[in-house]
Amino acid sequence: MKTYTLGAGFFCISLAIFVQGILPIAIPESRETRATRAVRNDLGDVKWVWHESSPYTAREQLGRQVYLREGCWYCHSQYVRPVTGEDMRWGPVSQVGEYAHDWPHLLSTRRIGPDLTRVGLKYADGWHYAHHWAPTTVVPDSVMPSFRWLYRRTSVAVIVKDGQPALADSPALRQLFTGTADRPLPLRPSPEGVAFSEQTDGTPVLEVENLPEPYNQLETWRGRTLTVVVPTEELQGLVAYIQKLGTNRGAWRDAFEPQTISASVMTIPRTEEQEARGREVYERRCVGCHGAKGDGNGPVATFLNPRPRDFRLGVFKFRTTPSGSLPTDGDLFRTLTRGVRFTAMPTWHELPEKDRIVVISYVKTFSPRWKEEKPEPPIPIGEPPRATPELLEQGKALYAKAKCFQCHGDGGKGDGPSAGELKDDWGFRVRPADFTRGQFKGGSDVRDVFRAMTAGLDGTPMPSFTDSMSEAERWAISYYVLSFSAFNDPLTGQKLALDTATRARLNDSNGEVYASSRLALDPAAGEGPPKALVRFYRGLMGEGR
Amino acid sequence: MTAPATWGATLRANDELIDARLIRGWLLWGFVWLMVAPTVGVLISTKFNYPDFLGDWAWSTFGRLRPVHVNGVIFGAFSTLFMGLAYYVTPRLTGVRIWKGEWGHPILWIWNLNLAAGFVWLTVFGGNRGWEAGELPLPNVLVVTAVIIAATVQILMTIARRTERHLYVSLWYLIGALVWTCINLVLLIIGPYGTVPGINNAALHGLYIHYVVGLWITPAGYVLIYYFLPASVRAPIYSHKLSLIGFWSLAFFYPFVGIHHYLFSPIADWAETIAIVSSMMLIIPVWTVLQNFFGTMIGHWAEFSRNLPAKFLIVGSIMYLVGCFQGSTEALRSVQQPTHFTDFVISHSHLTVFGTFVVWAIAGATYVWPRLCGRELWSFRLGNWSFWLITIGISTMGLVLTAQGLQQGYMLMARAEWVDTVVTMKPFWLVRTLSGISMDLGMSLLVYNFMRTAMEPAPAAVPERPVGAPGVRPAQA
Repeated sequence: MKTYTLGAGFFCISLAIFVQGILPIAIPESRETRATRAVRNDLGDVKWVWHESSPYTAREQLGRQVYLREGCWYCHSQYVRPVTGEDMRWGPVSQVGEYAHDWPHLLSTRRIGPDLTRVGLKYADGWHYAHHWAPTTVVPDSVMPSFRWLYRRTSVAVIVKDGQPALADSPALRQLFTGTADRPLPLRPSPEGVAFSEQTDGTPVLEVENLPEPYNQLETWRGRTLTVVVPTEELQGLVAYIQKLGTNRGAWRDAFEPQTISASVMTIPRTEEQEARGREVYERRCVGCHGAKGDGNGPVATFLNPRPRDFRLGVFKFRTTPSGSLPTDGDLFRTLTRGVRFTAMPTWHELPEKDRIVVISYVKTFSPRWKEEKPEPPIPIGEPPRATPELLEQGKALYAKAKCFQCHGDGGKGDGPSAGELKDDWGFRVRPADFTRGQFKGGSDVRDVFRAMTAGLDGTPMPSFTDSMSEAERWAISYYVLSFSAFNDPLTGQKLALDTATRARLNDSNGEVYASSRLALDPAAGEGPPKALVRFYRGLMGEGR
Repeated sequence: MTAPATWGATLRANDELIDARLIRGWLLWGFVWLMVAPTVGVLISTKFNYPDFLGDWAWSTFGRLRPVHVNGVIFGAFSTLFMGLAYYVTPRLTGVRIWKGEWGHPILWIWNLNLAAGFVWLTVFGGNRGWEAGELPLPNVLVVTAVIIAATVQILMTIARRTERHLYVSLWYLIGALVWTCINLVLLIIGPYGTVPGINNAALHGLYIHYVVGLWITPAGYVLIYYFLPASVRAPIYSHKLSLIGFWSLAFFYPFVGIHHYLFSPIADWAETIAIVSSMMLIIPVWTVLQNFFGTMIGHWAEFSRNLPAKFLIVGSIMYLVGCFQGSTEALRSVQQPTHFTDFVISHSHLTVFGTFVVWAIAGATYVWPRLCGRELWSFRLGNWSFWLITIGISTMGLVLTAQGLQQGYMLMARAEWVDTVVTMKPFWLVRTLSGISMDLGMSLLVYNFMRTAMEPAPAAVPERPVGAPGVRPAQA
């Protein structure tokens, strides 16, 4: 009797460990190391293909250790469920292969903060540095603690040098920076007196002349001390890890419907009530970066590069209207909804539409231009021509002819000869877009590139090419610009390991082929749909989401 | 088990078999954790409303302190009290002293100093291993495992040498809790390492975390209530048959439920379905044991007003009914859609781990501590205050966390913006903190009560009063 009882006790737990522990591991599907990945093909279309997930780099792995150690995972989950509209909120539903290199797992069971599965490339690094420094400044309603011990910091006195504010040299500063004289590191302090630098190789230089008044005045800074802030290696790793999250699904954002928006004609009425509501939204969502006065000098602006938009000039990059005109309300709505890639401006597709609308009303109160002028009628953007290899060849020739390489570089990496000298209308240094990562500030559709070429990006050195090029030529260049990122990993800008046959299949110009995660091309499988029994088995495995 | 007629006789019978000094040691350490671990919980819950509370040092962040709260309640408050009470219960049920009783004292110190060292490591040095409810650094886990194995050997040998022929159901659960946990700790040692990455690591972790609650806390808690409920109300258990059904259904269904922590994840759907089905089947062990407890109370409900240990045991049982209903239903896919990732789950874990099992352990301590000290509980009145502070605290916490979990879940299903849902949670979180303070206050007063009990001058002679007298309202009061 005793033996039976003992045996039964062990049998139950052994059976359970086998059925719930070993069996799920044993099935091949749970050891899948590939995930469906959105890639741009040579013709500028987004296609889906099964692709090996990439392991973490040493730096990302360090960041993962920090994420684990600091218990980030107690408040941030890492899986997107196929229910409750999560795939419209965070991004595509999680797949087995995305976790192939996660060890130990960090799925988590609680969301006190948002899910982080798809946070990679949602914000620029600078946003994360600002957010870890002062979460409630960036997101006033946040309950996240600050992580200031992940920064090296020192207090430095401001002195006057040649009638300009400058940093007093101190041994503490030398510990943070190498002090290499030929590499000036511009520091633009925040109104609170915090100055951030991501790099340490060089000499920090106080650069206030371009800041909005009164922060560009000597009197504001005389006799003050600055807190100079530099992220530690651990924090840099953490941010690298955060940026990696979700990128095994490639350019999924370019195929993400909730933030795809093409409407440009909409009129938002201007009423005081509307503006008052907009102000509430602005103060909860925008004020940390853009500042209470709309001058783009919010408390965390020092962390951000490019800097937040200064609304007081009424100059906006992403428009459908001609160069020099105000944007339409629809243009602002589009920028707000889809965000601006590689900047701190995230996608706001989650924010209720009415909030997005009223905040636009409020933003328009910062510049008198909105009272004095009306946006000019938008330039119509027709149907793009079909992309062909010939068109791309033509685009390549035009790219050279129009001297696009001067700023954007021969390889489209944004490293042309003039790239280092560019400044925007506010006098801040700007970088030309790096086409190889395929993350365009104004949008990654061929129409978006075409629009940027047609209307220009006001406030930046990017001009309008309406006068110098025909419409057909602009389409050709637009396709060529997109092709720089063909089959690239948006995180690294490197080519993916896809063989020629697979690329050829992905270059199908039919918009419906491999157009979604479910229809992804599986290079390892044969043609045709799977058999009924296989479909049933896959259903059992939870596939088909 | 024939009950001695008087309290004095009980004490003398205890004295012959148990090591009172050892049990007092375990309970004292248990009281320390009972004060520390929930207090850490209250402190970090304050951060939900005041993120800057406790400053911005590394060691005082939510992420560093949360594992101290969770592990402190599981391995500190509950397990330490339980070990002490197991050393009390086992000799009484087997009729022999603990085998190799002298091991007890080093084990006591190793267990508790190891936990303290682990918590310092977690907070100050960030030694988190990444498995929820198993965050302690590996060396600490190894020590925990060694202690549990040693205790398992002690208890099994004691039971093998027993003079009572029949194994009372408490001993069944005691054997189960110890042996299963020895197996589970192996999972914890190798789990976060090894060659099982990604979702399979999550599946194994699901098993581990539910073996902690299902195969350690639950059977250990049953050990306590199956002993202390009949003992404190002086009534035999309602049905032995039911208790066996409860034991075997627990043994069969509990091991399968782990993956319900990761429903809708990429873990295979069939594995998730098995976990859901077995989670629902857990209603069988839960309801059988509860039927047994409420059945035992038939004809003895008067004890609920005047008998402190019985009060705690019954309230714990009611929390168990609520908490487990919540637990089973939230394993359903449809219920989990809104509730997963929200405070609904936190409500479930507090109602069961604290509301039931820690409260049962408190009941056991209330029963045993005065007896070990050889005198009355210092103040029944103060004990009653503790009871109501704890009861009102945990009830409020359970309700408010359930409500806010549903609120946030349905807001998100209605496509509310994320931060908007967080803002909606803030008043709920404040109530949660206040209810935690109430519980904390109740436990502190109880520990104070125990300390005064121990420090009162010893009575000249043990009064010859009915068994169960300590913790019972004095007749003349």
